[in-house]
Amino acid sequence: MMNALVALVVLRVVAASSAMAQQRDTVATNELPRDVAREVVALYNATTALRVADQVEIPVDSVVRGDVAVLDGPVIVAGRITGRLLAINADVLLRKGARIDGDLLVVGGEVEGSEGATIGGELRVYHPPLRYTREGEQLVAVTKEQPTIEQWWRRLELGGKPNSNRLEIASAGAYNRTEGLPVKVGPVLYRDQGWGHLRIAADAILRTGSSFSSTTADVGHLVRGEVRVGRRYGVTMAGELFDVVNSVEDWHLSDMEAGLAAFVFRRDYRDYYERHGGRLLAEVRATEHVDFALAYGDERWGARPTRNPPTLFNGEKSWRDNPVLDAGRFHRAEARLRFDTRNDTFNPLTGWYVVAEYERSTGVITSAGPTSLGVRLLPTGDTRYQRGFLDVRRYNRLTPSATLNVRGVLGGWLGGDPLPLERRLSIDGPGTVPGFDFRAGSAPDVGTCSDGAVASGRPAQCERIALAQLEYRKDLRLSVPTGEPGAHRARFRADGAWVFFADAGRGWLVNAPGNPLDIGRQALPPLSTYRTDIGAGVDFTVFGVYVAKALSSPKEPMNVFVRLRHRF
Amino acid sequence: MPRTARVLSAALALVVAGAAPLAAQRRVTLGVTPPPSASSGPIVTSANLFADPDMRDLVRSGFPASLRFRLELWRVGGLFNDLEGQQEWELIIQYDPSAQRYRVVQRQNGRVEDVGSFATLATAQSILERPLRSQLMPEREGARYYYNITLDIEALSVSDMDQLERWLRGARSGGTAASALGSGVRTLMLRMLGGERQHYTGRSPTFRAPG
Repeated sequence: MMNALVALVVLRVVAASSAMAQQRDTVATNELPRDVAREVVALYNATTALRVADQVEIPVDSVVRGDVAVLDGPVIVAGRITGRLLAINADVLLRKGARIDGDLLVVGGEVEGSEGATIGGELRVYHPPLRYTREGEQLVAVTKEQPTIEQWWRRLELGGKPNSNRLEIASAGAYNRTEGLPVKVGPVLYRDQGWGHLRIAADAILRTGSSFSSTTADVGHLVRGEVRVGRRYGVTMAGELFDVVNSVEDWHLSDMEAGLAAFVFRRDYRDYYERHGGRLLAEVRATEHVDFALAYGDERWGARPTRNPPTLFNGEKSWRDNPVLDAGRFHRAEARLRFDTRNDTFNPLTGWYVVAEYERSTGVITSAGPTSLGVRLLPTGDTRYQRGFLDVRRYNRLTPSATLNVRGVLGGWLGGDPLPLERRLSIDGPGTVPGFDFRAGSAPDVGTCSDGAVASGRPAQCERIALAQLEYRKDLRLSVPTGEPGAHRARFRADGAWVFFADAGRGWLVNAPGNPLDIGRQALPPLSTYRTDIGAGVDFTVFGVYVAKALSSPKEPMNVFVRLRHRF
Repeated sequence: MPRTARVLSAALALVVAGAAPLAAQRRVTLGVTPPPSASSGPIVTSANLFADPDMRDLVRSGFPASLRFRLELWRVGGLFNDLEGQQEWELIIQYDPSAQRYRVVQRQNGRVEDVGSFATLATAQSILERPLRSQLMPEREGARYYYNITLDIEALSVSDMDQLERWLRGARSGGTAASALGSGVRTLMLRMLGGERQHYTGRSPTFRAPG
């Protein structure tokens, strides 16, 4: 014990000398935040199980039931404290195997040995000592006036956001040809409860392309209430009422990419439909790597007409028609599992990213959207279907400066009746096999599953899709020096990566006997029928510029495209 | 190929917009010195953490800035390199205009530590840039390893309304209306593209784990 105490004293001396050395030129302050001082004093005065103003040792195998508060320690813990340990102007030494079920709060001291101990609650350490006076058995804090910053500081410690009632004005989705920019406006009520939070938001959704110009009001809504238990991990229960516009496939490109392509170049890579209804959601985040969500909803779907929102370029061209999709009412049950072991979500170098979704729905299709010939029979009336989607990505580091990344996507019909158009898929455009132009495949088109005459807007019609993507990335550092010898400055500098990639994928039908794109429910299409391409590019992390060439259709011209962030 | 030209010109504009603030300025540098012996860990160094004038302005205007470090230990393998371990810590700095001090807080493994408060940003920066010895050490004696260090710097709680308010307050004093507009558009583009979060990396040389 003496050794440990000596070590602590040495630690304090080193820390103090270091701090003093800093203070000579840094003017560091040693004031304890005022509300921390108040909190500490309140906790000390309220502690009943064990309150000591001296050195304390809790030996191995001994248990203190309740909270412990120590003034002018030090404190040595080898046993167990079932409550909180508060150490004021005292160092804490935790022996291996020591256990504190509640929080450990240290003011004016250090903690040693926390790696080998179990702390059930939060561990907080403040180096500045508490200045206090005594009134009988009670402590009274002596503080200087310290406004404002403490609120931020305390919020940070608690890991939560401040309670608030505010007006939210935010984007409600990507810029698109059926809404323009959807903007949600409404009040948000947020309450941090300590064990979690409550949040209620009631937003009107205004659409720049239709809310202010049409004769009928085109204003949607999204009302959501949620209760979350836990902070980093925990359970979220939520309920939603909505009248929104959704995209059919949002897995090809990010919202930012789709929105910018539409707003800048008048190219909308998504199709849209209206959703109106409500649903209940439950989400569990069990570990750092896994979360699981369930949802059940009752909703009406309808077609969404194309509008004419303004764009930066190509204003003289007309938009691609938004396809007329199925209308009807659906009861949908959905489950989603996400497994993410990537070392970095922004720039992953190793790990898995897996998203698996399952949907089971029943409903009535009241009006069927047009499709290519032979894709399906007119499917009005009752319907019942099951659908799945699996996206698996693996990131591998080959050398310190190179990675080899692989992605596989499978999705589509699993059982029941043919899928409604809103739930069908495609392998088309820069997010999948970019060597092929978007919505330009010739019949039979394995990208959108159309054969012969195509429906207006060329909707995604495939009932199943498969996609494989492979990419090799190698670090690239560009630097143009200023010309000054020995200067640390650069005229231009950019860090990024060379990217070489290959893709293969296609879609097919399973409930359309007689159609050349029908492969059947139990079979996979021959590999020779897949769209394939290769390409290369330069990725500057924030965005990348690429060139892709189709291999399976050599006549396809080379495509140049830009992606924001990485391809996957 | 008009479409190709458009895309390339847009990409070039983005490159120029992104590169401009890097021109003629010092750059954030990160370094890791491998452990000299089996009993001591690597030393992490950083410099010019507030090299970006925008970030410096944000901190001086009172927005908290988060500097999230991640040190990774990679083992050179046969086909792929293996991530053997990693350590993360976060330093947060905020200026308190009423006290006229920069407060620095460190978070690591759920532990929050008050590093102190300092009179100037340069002083706080020098504290943030102190070399740090990590306890992330190789497990396999004689195997080949290297360290990877990443740093993400971002301003916290900077909503568009906050940004707008800063512009209206004239936080960027000294510029013309056109330069303010240009700066605003560039900031907006960078924010849309995720550029408000600055990402830096560094790497140690490959070394054999000491015995």
